[in-house]
Amino acid sequence: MTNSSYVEVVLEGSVELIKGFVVGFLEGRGIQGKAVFEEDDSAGEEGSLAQLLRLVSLKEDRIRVVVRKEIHDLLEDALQRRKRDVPARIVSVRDVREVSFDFRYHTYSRQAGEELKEFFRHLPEGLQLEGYQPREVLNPDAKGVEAYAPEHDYEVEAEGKIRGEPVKVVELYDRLKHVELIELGEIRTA
Amino acid sequence: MRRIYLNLFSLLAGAFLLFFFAVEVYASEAHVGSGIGAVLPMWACLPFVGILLSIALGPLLVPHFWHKHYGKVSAFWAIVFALPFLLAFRGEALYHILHIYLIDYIPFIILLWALFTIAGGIAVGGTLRGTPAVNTAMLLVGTILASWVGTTGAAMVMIRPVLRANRDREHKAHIACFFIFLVANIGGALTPLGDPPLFLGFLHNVPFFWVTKAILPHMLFTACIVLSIFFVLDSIYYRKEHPLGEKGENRVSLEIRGAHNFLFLAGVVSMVLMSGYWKAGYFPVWGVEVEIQNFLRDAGIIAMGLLSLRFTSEKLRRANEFGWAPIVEVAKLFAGIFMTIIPAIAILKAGSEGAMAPLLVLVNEPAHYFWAAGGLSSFLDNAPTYLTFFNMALGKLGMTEAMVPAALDAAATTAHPVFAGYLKAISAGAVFMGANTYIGNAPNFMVKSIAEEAGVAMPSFFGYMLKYSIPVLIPVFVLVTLIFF
Repeated sequence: MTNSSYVEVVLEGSVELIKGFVVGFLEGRGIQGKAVFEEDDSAGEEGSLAQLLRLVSLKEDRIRVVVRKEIHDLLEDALQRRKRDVPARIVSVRDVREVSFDFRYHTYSRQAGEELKEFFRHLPEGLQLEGYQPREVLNPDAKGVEAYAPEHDYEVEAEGKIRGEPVKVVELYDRLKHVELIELGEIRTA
Repeated sequence: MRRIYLNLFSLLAGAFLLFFFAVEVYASEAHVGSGIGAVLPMWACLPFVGILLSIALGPLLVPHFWHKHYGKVSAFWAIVFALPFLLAFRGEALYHILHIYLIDYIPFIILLWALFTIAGGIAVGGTLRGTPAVNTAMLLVGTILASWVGTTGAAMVMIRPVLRANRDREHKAHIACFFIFLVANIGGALTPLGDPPLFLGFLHNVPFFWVTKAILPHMLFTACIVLSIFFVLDSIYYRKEHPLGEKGENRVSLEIRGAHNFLFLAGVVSMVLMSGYWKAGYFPVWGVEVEIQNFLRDAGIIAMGLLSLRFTSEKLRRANEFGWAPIVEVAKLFAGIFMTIIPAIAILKAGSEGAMAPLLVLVNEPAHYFWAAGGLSSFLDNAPTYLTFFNMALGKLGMTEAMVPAALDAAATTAHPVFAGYLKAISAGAVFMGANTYIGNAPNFMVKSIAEEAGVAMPSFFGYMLKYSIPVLIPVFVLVTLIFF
């Protein structure tokens, strides 16, 4: 899946200020499009010295914003116009062809396992699932509650990668973030 | 897999033979007569260490093997000790074995069985909503309940209602971990019914309500801080999960079914109390003096358990997913523990004459006992750990078990404040610090297992320690040390 109508903008400044500015900008202009924010220590692939400086607050935080190309152009102009009021600067801009993330889950709950399998069987359109092969282990001998020999009669685990259209991928990521049983990797843009 | 079992069997058989010949040689050189505690070598405790390490590491390293063969492993360590011990010390060895089974093991198992059976007939239902306030209240109820139905019983009764109430919460692992801290461990500190180590203390002459009075300040302090931390942490998670305006009404409709089991519970408490205050003489069983009131107590406790089984519907027990597996596990494993603990207790009782005399010099202050008993209880089962340190304190002070009630009577001239200080530290350490790891106390694993099967992403063994027990409990225990010991 490739899509070049999105760009990833790395901004430097106060994370909350940038989020507020971008969301306010979209609302104010009545733009339906969505911006995806990702706080990332490696935003813009900066070196470890720069990251250290940010940790000790000698350098501003960085945030990745993924927006549609046309929104970026408008946003860049607005930031330029308001540079005295909004202390944030664009560090880098690049086309986003693809967004993806890795995930992994593991549960001993039969019900949760069925729900997870069902969920990943029916992903929203435009999203691709790669390397996903749930592995179930049934052990009827282990049924019941035990204290010193706790084995489970059911176990399922799986891992995989989801890729696709940036906004859809990130929307799914935001949903899955709230499921304690699923471990998510970082969002990657390419 | 078969090859692994064969190798393991060969290893264990080798250990057995080595131990067998060593004891034979040692006994032929030793001067038996001044009590076996003074002549037994330190390495006689190896099977005890072996069984405790097997219990601690088996479920983690070889869960499938352990699940199928833990009973055989327990029997193996028991035999590794018992056969050479009997051959070397004959009549005296037989007396010690009968003594520990008749005086400790059988009453211990009977009490745990009865509490487990009775608690398994009480089902808490309703449509609770897992808000921070409701969760804190449920943990508080479980903490109070634990001292009266035992930590295993309280955990079994309360864990499912807690999980049900939090079914729709996004973050649930912290709730189960704090449940382990409070209901499965700290809450059991106030009576001998609460936690197995304290019942062993009761069987060895510690008065029933001594622990209630002695540990109450420590328990209240610890439980209040841990509950407060839980409330704050749960509130933070709850706010993140429920943005302002999305919270619904807290609908609480609590329902307790099988409440008649509280009567049987009261019966158990009465029996235990009766045996502590009534002295009716004894009758000998192969040379071991079995006290009449203790025999009647055990018979009464069995009757209470049977009444609970008779008058509680199967439906209620199914609601708790009640089964005998946990109690069978305890019975099999503690049969091995009680056999192998014989040399450790005998050596520690011998005090300065025993092989562990150098160790006694190192453990001097109540704070040492708190951390030593607690540290070991974190990784080994807390019941044998308590018994070991209890005997260490007796041996160090040159006391016998018969002197314990008088030594703990603060108002009497016979009071022994040093022993009382040690015993408070041992009791608090053994009970509280069982919460430090999943393997510190039997209900910990049970709660983890039930929570996992309910879809909670419980942390790993080290995750539990790094994320929960070390940052939350250890600072609290440091405060307990500074304030109380």
